[in-house]
Amino acid sequence: MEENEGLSLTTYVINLIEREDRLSSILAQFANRPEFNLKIRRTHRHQIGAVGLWENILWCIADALSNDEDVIVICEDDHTFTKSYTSKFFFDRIFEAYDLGCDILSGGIGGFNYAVPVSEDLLWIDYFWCTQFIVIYKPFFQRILDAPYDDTVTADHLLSVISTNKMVIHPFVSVQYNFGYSDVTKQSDDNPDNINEYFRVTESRISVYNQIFRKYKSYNQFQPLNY
Amino acid sequence: MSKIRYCSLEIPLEELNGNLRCPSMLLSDSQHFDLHKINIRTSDTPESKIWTHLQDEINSLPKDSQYFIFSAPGALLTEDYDNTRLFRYLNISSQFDPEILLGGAGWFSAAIEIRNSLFWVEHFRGAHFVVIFRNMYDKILRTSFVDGDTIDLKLSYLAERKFLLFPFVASQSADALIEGEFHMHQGYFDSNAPVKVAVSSYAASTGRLAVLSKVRQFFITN
Repeated sequence: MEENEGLSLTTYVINLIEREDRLSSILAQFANRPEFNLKIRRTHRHQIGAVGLWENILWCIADALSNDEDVIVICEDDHTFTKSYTSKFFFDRIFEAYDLGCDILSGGIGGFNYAVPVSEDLLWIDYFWCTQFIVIYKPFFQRILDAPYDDTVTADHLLSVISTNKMVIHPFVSVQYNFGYSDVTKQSDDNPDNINEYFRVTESRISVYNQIFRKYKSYNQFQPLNY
Repeated sequence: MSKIRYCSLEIPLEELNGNLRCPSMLLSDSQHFDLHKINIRTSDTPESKIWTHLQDEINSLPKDSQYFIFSAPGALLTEDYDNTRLFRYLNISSQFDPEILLGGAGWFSAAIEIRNSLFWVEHFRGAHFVVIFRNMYDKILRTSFVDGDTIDLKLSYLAERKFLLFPFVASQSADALIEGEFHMHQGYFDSNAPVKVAVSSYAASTGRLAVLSKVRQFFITN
């Protein structure tokens, strides 16, 4: 596990009891990755999938708070690690984002509006789509629990609007596996192939930001952190 | 310092609803600018004709010209315009081998602030204050205009290195909206919804850039 040997990050995995295929898939993703301490949240289907997801995120946060966790990962069962994932790269980004006051750090997103590169591997984003693999820091726990919501809630939207300090790792360390249906959104269910395209296009957009940041960074006043 | 050639395609003043901040009103008596004012009627001037004006302007430039300023019809200078600031950013941007420096934009895709008040931009709309550098001259002269082309997008796709001043020094008059809808390629948006650019978009772009600038400043100072 390279320089982060011994670290074990509490990682909540949300999975519907009826989705054995997804459970097998996500367990396979974390096999032989001792840096993650998995807590599987097996849950019953909510009549509104997105509300069910949010309420399970709330359960995870409450659990993290009661266990005095400093930082956690919340993960949906369609998360897939990319080839860019390494333990060292990921943990370095967790520390780096923490130093920058980040509330939520995503391992990969399906869309955003605006971005500001804050280092060679991190971008601040104003808004994001998809929550299949997100790091959440303790100072943000209570704000999540306190956020009002109703039956129209979507986790990515609500997290986007209650935090002004959201970041994404580049290159992505996570994308959504396309099971051909979604338990959360109807749009994804109607157009299952879109999800692959959303991630591809979004990573392509972010690559542009990253390239430009690297190209002009000698003229930039940021001092990227080194670990 | 030699005067900067400023090619301003202007609609008659009576069509500007009394707004007098058009380039010729502010720059005509300047010691810094060599103003080429071409009066046209926006409503009946096809974009292809404006492209021809642009090519003619390039052909008429002195051989040692390093850059000139092009203003599409309906350009207005903002209250943030001043000569000193323009010259300062011409100087700063010159180290990045620019092809285009914009005084404002009605729309842009990705934008990154690489120096205080100077953004790199991916693509833009709005050609109401465009500094065109020498390395663009041949590209423009060699490129023909076809139906459906627009001046701003043509310039945007021709130029590889584009920069944008913020706050804007130029905007467009309400009488010279960029009409129509267009689709950006390569999925710059999450949907394929057309992007309609109008005068209010200069305000929207200002809002977007202000957020990006504020965020950058936050991370620099924290």
